Order: sequence, then structure tokens, then C-alpha cells
Amino acid sequence: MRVAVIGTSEAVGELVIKELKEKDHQPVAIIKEKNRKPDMEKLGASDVVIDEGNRLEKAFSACDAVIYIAGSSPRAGESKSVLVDHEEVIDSMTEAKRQGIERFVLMSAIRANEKDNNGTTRIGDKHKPDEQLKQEGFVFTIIRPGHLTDKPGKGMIRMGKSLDIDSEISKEDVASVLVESLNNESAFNKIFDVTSGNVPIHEAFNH
Amino acid sequence: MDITAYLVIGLIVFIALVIVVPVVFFIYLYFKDDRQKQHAILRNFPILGNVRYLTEKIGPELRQYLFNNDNEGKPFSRKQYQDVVKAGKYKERLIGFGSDHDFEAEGFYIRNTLFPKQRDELKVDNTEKVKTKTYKIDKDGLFTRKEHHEEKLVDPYLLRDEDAVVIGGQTCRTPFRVKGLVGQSGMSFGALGENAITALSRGLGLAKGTWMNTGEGGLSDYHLAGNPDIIMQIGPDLFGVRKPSGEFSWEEFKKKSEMDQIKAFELKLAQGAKTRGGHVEGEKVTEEIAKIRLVEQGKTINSPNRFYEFDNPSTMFDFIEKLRDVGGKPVGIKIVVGDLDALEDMVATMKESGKGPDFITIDGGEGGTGATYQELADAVGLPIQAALPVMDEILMKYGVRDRVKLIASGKLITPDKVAIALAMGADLVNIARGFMISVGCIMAQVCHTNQCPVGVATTSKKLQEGLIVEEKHYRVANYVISLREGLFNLAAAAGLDSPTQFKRKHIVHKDDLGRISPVEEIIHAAVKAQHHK
Repeated sequence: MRVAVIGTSEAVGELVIKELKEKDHQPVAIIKEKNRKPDMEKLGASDVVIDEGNRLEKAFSACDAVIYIAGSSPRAGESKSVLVDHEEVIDSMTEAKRQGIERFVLMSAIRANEKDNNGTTRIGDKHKPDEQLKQEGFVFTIIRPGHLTDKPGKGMIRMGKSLDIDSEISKEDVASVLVESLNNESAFNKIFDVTSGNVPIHEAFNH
Repeated sequence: MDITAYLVIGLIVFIALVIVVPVVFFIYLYFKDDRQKQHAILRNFPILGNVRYLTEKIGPELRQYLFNNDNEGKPFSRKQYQDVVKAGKYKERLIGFGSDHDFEAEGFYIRNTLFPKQRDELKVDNTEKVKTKTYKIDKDGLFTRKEHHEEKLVDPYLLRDEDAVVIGGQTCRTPFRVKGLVGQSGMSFGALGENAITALSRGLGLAKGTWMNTGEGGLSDYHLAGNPDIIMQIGPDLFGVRKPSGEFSWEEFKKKSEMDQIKAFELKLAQGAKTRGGHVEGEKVTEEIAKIRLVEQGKTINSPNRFYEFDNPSTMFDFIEKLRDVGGKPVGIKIVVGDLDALEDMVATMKESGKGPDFITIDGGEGGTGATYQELADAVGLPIQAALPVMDEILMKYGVRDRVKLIASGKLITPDKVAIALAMGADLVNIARGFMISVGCIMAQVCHTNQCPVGVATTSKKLQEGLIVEEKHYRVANYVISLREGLFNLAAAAGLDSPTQFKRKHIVHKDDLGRISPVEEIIHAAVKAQHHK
């Protein structure tokens, strides 16, 4: 599967590229800084597109799926500013739709659906991309990991709804979950909270 | 007898023990001190005079732990020591509320730019993460510190492939490519115990992009344990590459050069710690050491302080040519910079003959693990800050700078010190004592006694029980990775996208009056001093 990956400047993005390559997909890395091109190629990207302004059109052409990694931590604190840059997510959704891409995997954060309780619209917008994904008719999966750590992945996770925001998960495991969800039908059109746990990743979606 | 009588007797015995015995003992000591003929102070002030010896004995420990301030203490201050330990344990270099550095003292500073590089703009290769372990503090109490060891995937901060330093690129069948700028300086098995060498080998192997110099004591299995890249050092005693008669063995050398792990060879000419020839007591020449060094078991070794194989630049270069021809791998020399005329003579020969070493390791000459004589360690050879720019300049003057890599060593144990050395002309940096600290050295300064209290610089099995290889090897990896990360931080601050680009113009010297001057002034001063010789 040819998969466009957005959000490659952080470790999760790098690990997703690597994992995609290992699982015989063709990752297309979208980067903001051209200096990162050799890194992406080395990690296994089949193609690297530099996103200067609006280059998503080129990046998305001939892709079958999009993995969008919105780097954020659930521990960023309650009522802190927007955890997920929804405008960028929505832009990429629009472009994906235009190019006929059906599969869209979004890494959000456990706290993304935090309620707007102090009246500022910014916080209230956090869940907007999630809503839009459903409305646009994508085959979507939203992964909301707990606090990301640099520990090595164990391949064992816990999946569910509304898990404790204090629980952790390694970046390596999150990357594996994102890649696994691409083809796992149990992941289609669902939202998962993910933390480290004791169920192997490929089984976790069925629970 | 009734009970009171027993009590009275008991009391008398008690008094006798508590008062009489010490009094007798002191009288004995008094006369012993008074009559001895060795110490004047004890003859004049018996017993009291001993206070002098006691405080003299425990002085270094008291100073190190209590009285020295954080920036005092030699060879390394408490702060420098802690910087290395923390990098190894926690992979952490953050400080709060400003630096403790003495900014009034003279020293080198890095020129930062107004517009530093962003993280994404750095030419760094972090694609292969390293799986290590670091400590995390749970609670730091007055008497206890609770911490746990946890696995972590860390960025290795390697150089990009195109920035890798290549030694012997134009001369060797198998050049040595290295993707990091810091490696381990020569420390022999024998000077360090098998646990320390194994921990170093495994830590360096884990961190990748670095190298391990065997020291002149030959190549042991402990060096190979973690599969790091190895530079094998050859001293005038030819350990590991000699015939029983003591001559150079081309056969043994060929065997060594065929080993994949050995990436280069280094001929150790006169060097700081050993400008005299090496000496190993017969009792330390165990079966194992004898096998590694290819010497006779139990027999005291007195090695020469100069190779018999050559005695001037051109015969040395011929020997190097042959080594390179037989081994196919880069060959370098390790020197201490002293007489500039001799150096200039060598470099001129490089230019004329088109031959020469693939790398030159310049030792600051302060002596590390080295059991050496005080007079040699303290006064022979130029310290690295003078030696390095001078060597760099001479090589440039003769137009041979591109044929040779410079490796600098001499107390360069933190990223700032390494960066300054790179700016002064070094291509790579060797560290010995920083790595010793990362495997547990507490600077007890007893390396020469085989009594190292933390089992680093000793071959004693018992003392080495204190050094757990599995735990320490992570610290070695964390330390070297931390150094590389720090180098990228400094490069970014100087507006460079890789620490390989540090040049003279990126640093200045500030004297104790606050006047700044460029590195070139050191070179001018050195040249001037040579003219007055």
C-alpha cells in the first residue's frame, strides 16, 4: 500500500516510516525541511515530498492511505491550547478526498475530546478533525495514545475507550499500532485510546 | 565474699582497663616515636606529631569531598567529574540557575551566531535509534535517593554518511569510516581490568560511530566483546605483533590486520605517559597477558622507549608503507608535540616523499591511566591547546593537511572541550579518563598500584567484583552519545549544521583581563618561541 505520512519531524513519524517499509508498504514522507530528506530515505521512504506551502497534491497522488501524526501529549494539561492542529488536519483531509484516497489514519491524543469548559473556542475545536473524518466518509481510524515515552516497544498494548490519561505508551508501539490499523478491518471507522498493556498489537483491535 | 566485694573488684578491673591500658599504650607510643630516627617531628613531638601524618593521608579525600569548591580539584574538578557521571547515568546535561564556570579565568570560548540552526536543519543521522538504559530519579531525599533503571530508545547523534570522517581514504584498501567524532583513547588490558575493558567495548559497540583504541598492551578478547571498531596500538615493545625474540612479526601483524573489527593501526611514538619505555613486573605477566602480548609468562618486561625498526621520518614512513601494504588498513602515529623543528622535519618529509601516516594522534601529555614518572607527566611535551593548532598549521604550511587526520586527546571530557579541540584543528577526539569515569572511576589516583578501589584500573579479581559490566556498559554508551548530542548543540549555536565544520574562527581565547584573541596568536607565539631555541 502506498501511504502518505504527515508529521515526520518527530520520532513517531520516523518510526512509522520504518515500520511501513518493514511491512512492505511504500511510505511517502512529507517533510517541512529539505534537510530531512536523506533521513527519510534512509528510514525507507519510497518518496519524499517537501511541503513548501501547498504540495500535498503531489504527495498524495497515487496514494492509497494517509497516516497523519499530530504530535501532542495528553499531559500538556487540561484546558491548554489546541493539542491538535486541526486546520492542517482538515486541509489534508480535503486534499485526500480530492485525490480519492479512502483510508485515513489519524494519531490524535487521549485528551483530544476534552470538553470546552471555559468558553474559549480554541479548546472546543480540539475534537473538530475527529468529527470531520466521520462526516467526510473516509474509512477512518483515530488512535489516541497516552503519554508517549522513549522506551523500546514491547508489542503489547491496551486498547479501549476513555483510558486513563496518565498511562504511558512507547512511541515504537504507537507506530506499530498506526501501521497495523491500515489493513486491519476491526480498526475501520473506530476511535481507540491506546496505552501500553498486555495484548499483542494485532489482536488488540478485535477486543 | 558478699556482693559488694565483687562489685569493688569489678570496679577496679574496669578502671584498670579504661585508664591503665590506654596510659600504658600511650607511654609505649611516646617512647617509640621519641626513639625512632626517621621523622624529626615525631622525635620532638611524640604522639602529637602523628596528627600531621593522619591529616596528610586523608587530606585528598577531605578536599575532594568537602573542602574543594566545585571548580577546584585536579586533574578534574568535582563539576567536570559530575558532568561525565550524569551524562552516563541519566543521559542528562541540563543545569539550572546558570553556570558555575569561572568566567573570569582565562580560557577558550565558542563564538555563537545570531541565527543558530534549527534542529531540523542539522546534518545528523538519527535514523537508527540506540536501545540503552538510563536512570530516572523517583525521589531525591536527604539520605536516600530512589531511582530506577529504565530502557530507552535514544537518538545516536551520528554524522550523516557524507560527513563521516574517512581515515586512509586515498591510501588504503580498507579505509576507516567513522560516523562520530569521539572515541576511546588507548588504554591497555592490564592497565585496566577485564571488566572495565569489557564494559567499554560493549558500551562503545552499542553506541556505534565510535572506536576503541587498545593501548599498546595488545588486543584481548575483552576488547572484542562488544564488537566496536578497534584501532590497534603498537608500541615499541610490539605487544601482540612480535616474535618470541622480540622482533616485529609480519605474520602476527597480518593475522591482526585480517580481523574485521580492527579498522586501523597506531604506532605509539613517545607519548605523554610513557616517554620512557614501558615496564611490567613479572608477577603481573600472567598466562593470559603473556598470550595476548606474545611475551614470556612471569618474566619482567622492560620495553624500549623508541622503536628499533626506524629512527627518522623517512625510515618510519617506509615502515608505515609496508604496514599499510601488508595490512591494507590505515596506519597512524601517536605523538606528543615538543620540538617543532623535529615535527617540521617530519612534515617536510611527508611532502617530499609523498608518504606518511594516515592519521596523527596528538596527546596532551598529561598522563592518564598511565603509571608514569612525575617529571615526565608534569613537564614533558606541550599541552593540547598549544600542540594542536601548531600541528594543524605545520601540516597546512606544507600542503599535506588533506592527507592526514588529526586526533586530539588530553582532558577533553565534555562537549565544549571537544568542540574547542575540533575548532583548533582536530578531526577527531580521543578520550580516556572520561570513559574511565563512566565505568566507575572515582579519581582515587592509585592507577599505578593495582589497588583501584572501584575495580577499574586493576587486574585484581576481588576489586573487580565491584564493577558490574552489564550496568556500566550502558553508562559508556550514554556518555558517548551525550557528547555527540552536545557537539550538535554547540554546532547549531555556532550556526553550523554539523560539528565537523568547526574552524579556528569559531573560537576565541579570553585572557584573565577580558581581552580576546584568535587561535592564530598561539601559533605565532609558538613559532616565535621556536626561533629563540
